[in-house]
Amino acid sequence: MDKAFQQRRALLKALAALGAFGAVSAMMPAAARGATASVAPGHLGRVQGGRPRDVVFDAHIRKDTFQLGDRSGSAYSVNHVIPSPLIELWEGHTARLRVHNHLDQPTSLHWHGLLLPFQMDGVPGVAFEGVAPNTTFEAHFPVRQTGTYWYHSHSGMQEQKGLIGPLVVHPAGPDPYSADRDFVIVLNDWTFEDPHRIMAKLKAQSDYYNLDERTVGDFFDDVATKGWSTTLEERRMWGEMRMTPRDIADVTAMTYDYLLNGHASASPWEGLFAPGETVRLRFINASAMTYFNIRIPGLAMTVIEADGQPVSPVETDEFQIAVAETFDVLITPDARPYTLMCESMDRTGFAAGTLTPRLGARAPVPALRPPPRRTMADMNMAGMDMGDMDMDGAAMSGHDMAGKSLSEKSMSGKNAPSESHASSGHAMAGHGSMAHGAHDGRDKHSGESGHDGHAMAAGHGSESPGDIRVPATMDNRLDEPGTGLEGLDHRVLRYSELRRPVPIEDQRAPSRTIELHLTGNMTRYMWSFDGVAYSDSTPIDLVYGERVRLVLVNNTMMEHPIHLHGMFMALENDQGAHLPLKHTISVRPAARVSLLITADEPGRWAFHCHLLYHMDMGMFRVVRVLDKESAHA
Amino acid sequence: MRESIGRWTCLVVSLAMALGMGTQAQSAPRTQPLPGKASLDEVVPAHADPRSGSPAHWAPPVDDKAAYHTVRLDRLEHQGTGDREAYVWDAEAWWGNDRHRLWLKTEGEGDWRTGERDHAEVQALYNRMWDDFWDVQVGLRHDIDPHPSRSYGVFGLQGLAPYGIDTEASLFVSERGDTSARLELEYEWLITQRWVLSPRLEVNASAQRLDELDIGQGITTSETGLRLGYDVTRQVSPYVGISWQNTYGETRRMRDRDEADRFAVVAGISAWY
Repeated sequence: MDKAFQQRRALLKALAALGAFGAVSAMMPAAARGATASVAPGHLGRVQGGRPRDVVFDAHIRKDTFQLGDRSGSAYSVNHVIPSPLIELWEGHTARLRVHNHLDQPTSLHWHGLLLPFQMDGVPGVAFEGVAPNTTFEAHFPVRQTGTYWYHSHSGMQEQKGLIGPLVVHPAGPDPYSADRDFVIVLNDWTFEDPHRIMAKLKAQSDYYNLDERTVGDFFDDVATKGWSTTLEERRMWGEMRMTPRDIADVTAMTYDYLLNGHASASPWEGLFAPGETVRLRFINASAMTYFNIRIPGLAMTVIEADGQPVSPVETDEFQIAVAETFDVLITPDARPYTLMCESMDRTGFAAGTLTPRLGARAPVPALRPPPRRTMADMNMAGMDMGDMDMDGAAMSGHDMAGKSLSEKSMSGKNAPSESHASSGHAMAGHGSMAHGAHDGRDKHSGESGHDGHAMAAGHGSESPGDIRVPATMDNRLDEPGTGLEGLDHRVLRYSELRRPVPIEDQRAPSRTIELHLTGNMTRYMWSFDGVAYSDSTPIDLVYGERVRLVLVNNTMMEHPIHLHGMFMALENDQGAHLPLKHTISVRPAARVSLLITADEPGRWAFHCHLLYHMDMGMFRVVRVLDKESAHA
Repeated sequence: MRESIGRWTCLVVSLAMALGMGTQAQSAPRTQPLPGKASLDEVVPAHADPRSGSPAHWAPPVDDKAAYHTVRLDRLEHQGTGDREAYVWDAEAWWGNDRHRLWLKTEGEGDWRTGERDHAEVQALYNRMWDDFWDVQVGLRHDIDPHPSRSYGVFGLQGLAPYGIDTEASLFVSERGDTSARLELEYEWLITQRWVLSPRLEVNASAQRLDELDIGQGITTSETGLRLGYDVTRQVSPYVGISWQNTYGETRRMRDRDEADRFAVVAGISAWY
């Protein structure tokens, strides 16, 4: 970098040493003042707002020690805080975000959900070369959106080690929801383990972190409630697939501490309000691997934004947040404390915070509910003879889902258009022989085998051992509340309820359909699209200006939060012209989800599963938006 | 001072750019960037990596071909029978990515009292992913004991059979052309999340009679075991169990009566990293 910059850095260092760092930038949180060797949580929460302005933000990335209770371990900090500090930007103004790398390895910051020139997007190897040690990268771009977003490292596994932070974009004009209090709620899954070691363990034994596996006792319990034949038949099906209904999360509380704004539930984060006030909570799931179920016992929430984009207000009591999603809610609490209960989807742990009218007052923390189970619907076997069979004693809430017949749901009109399968051949053509081969292989196998229980147990040919599939599906599962939240006696948000208040701009019909299957092999811990990992793939090309339909089919028994950089995806959820815009879409097991994309952002954009260890195993593609002459096929 | 001048210059330049963009975009829409967007000309570099479309010299965004490794001690155990106090080891290690791996295996046994080692073998194998659950292995086996040592070519199939039964099937051809086979099956039955009951079956067979090894044609020996382990951690499990070792057919007739069938109480440890 140039000399002027080096001088500037020296100056900043000197200021920091004087404990005057906070004065350099109004953005700097209180805890960042003065360099500390050990970082404790405490800085995140309040959204400041203020006068609309251009923003310059200096992010100094360092290795620090993260302190959690009496335990500590090494982590990555931005300006000496973990999670990284809140960045506030203004629509219609510019952002100048400078990433200073003080590590001995490359780093990066990706601005998750922001529309910007692709070179500023912060994905090493796709958007830029990465930030080398002792250099600075500057992302300078006009801000042309509003809402709640976040940022994180896209280098190696740094995201798992604390390089995550909230990012709020204020509207240029008045805020349509001017709440009295405005908080970011950053959720993450912290571990003292080395993430590379976690990866190695998953490769050696993929159920390493699962301490809720089926036991002999469960077998006899099932026999007692369901009888021998049902139990044996049901074990046969899981057994032939070498799968388990207990596989909810790959990485669990065995190694994770779930944090809310950096706080463990033992010393919870506190948000203060005055009675009668309206409070805005901006939930950001900045986890590497963990979905959360969020509720505030005794208080209804009005959802007003999803992934930073406005939605018509929906009142709910609980919602599930996928990794990398954001949801903004409004609440009007009474004059008493409340618990923000954020239970991990597998229910091995939780993050919790307190909303209170006076410091120190606490509300009771509800007990963890029993862990959910995978059901027939997750195998897309709901229409089979065993549709009336519950998969596991504790999971009876899933029963009504499992009982619905497949064909009935297929007719419901909530599904991806039927021509998509036929046209996908065209869409995929030209994306390299590997991708093409795998695609052909799938057509052959999955075909119309949805009702054939044996199809899933059969081998799928040697072309793609990384794809152990459940039968092909036509159901998008957007009207379901999320794994483990079925059959509750309170309201749970569903994707089908999300509606953009104004019609989306591009109302053109898509000119073509691209179908991608989400594929994996839990036993080998392999994850990919269409059975092809990134290193054997070629980019997915979109012609600048075109409108395409992207159909995602989940061949696995896990949810995958699929994130497209640089452009929003309109989720086809039966809301007509008012489809909600998402940057991350969680595709449920065995579901087929349809999205519309207007390719109006030239560039090379990352497209991947946002479960960190899935992405790292190759569940990743580059999507290019380019002119017709340069595009493949 | 110099710093602030730099900043102002940048601001003026970018303002000028922003103002200029609108008019330029109309005259040449393909090449000129829209405000806040990249130019279409910037998407495809001169020398592009086929996967990312980015400049070929950039490091990849994810490293899905990375090699991993594991070292696993399946059994290190003491076997007590009426007339014999034996030790047994069975360990393996692999290194590589999903498609290609190098495997090392070793197993053997001996008698504590006499100090005699009955059997000691090592295998070095190339492992190739074959399908969803199965790997093919090809390589060499060398038996240090019994004397004289001998070497074999190995062809193996290893994987997870339905119901999660760990399966290892190997075919051995010795340097003298003798052919033998071994099948190992093991299952983990969870009593609780930590107590695990593991039935294990090993069957050996030979295509010909080998007098120097006391081996006859056909099924030669088997080991049937039942071991109860406790996962102290996910990686360390001490266990106790029982083991039957049997001989069959011609092999049975060739061996002493007290060697024909054995029942042993075993205690040991399994661990991996």
